[in-house]
Amino acid sequence: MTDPQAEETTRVESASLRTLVQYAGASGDFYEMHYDIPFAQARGHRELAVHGLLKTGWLGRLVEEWFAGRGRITVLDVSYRGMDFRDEPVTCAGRVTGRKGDRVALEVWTASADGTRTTIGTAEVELTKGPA
Amino acid sequence: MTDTTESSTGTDAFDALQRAIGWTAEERVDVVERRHLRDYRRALGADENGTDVPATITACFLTEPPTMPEALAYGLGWINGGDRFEVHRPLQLGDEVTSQLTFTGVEEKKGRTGTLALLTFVTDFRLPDGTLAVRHVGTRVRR
Repeated sequence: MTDPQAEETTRVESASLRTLVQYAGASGDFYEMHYDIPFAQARGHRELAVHGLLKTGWLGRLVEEWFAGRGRITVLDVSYRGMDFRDEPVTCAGRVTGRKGDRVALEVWTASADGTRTTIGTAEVELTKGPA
Repeated sequence: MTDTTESSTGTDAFDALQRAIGWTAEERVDVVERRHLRDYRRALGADENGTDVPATITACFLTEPPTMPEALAYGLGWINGGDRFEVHRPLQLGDEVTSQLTFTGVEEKKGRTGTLALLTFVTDFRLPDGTLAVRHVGTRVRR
């Protein structure tokens, strides 16, 4: 459970083959790099890659549950700086960086097991009621 | 989606990408359906019975990877470079959105593993009355 008053929050996610296939089915992104090992390895990857948009979905979920009942995402903007792979932990995190009126600015990121930030970005939340 | 098996990151392939700026995918119409929402929430690890529509739901309404022939002719494969969601009007169950992906720009760079092309695609998701609900900007990499 995310503390709604926290200035920073994290959650560790991991994508199994089942997760990758579920995401492919839900999103319609059936690029073979996410479920076909020979295909991924032929392109120089050691394992099945986690969809970038799945990581963004995790970050969106993190922020939405953090601000549940208090606000909504208006902008979520990320760049992928590294790949994450099947069955490996992916730390998803967010940190408040500023507040102006009814808007809260956040830094968001994902990190692989060795701490390398594999996704970096920002989000903006519009508060709907009550204090941030 | 099947990639080419021969690399083609030369000048001709990049020129073709530049000429393709303005390319649009076919217009598509999608509906935020209960079952689809459940599948997406489950994939994200959220409570699959929840009815809140994630801000990133339009990821499901993108044609990924893009089908633009000039992109498939460059390099060997796709990598996702980045995604931006601008949510102007949150989507709800039952909403119908019309969208059309547009190729808006390309840049060629020298990476650690060779030459790559950064392609930018913009997709506006509009409600039936024309209201812009979500704008998605995707950076996709061919290398």
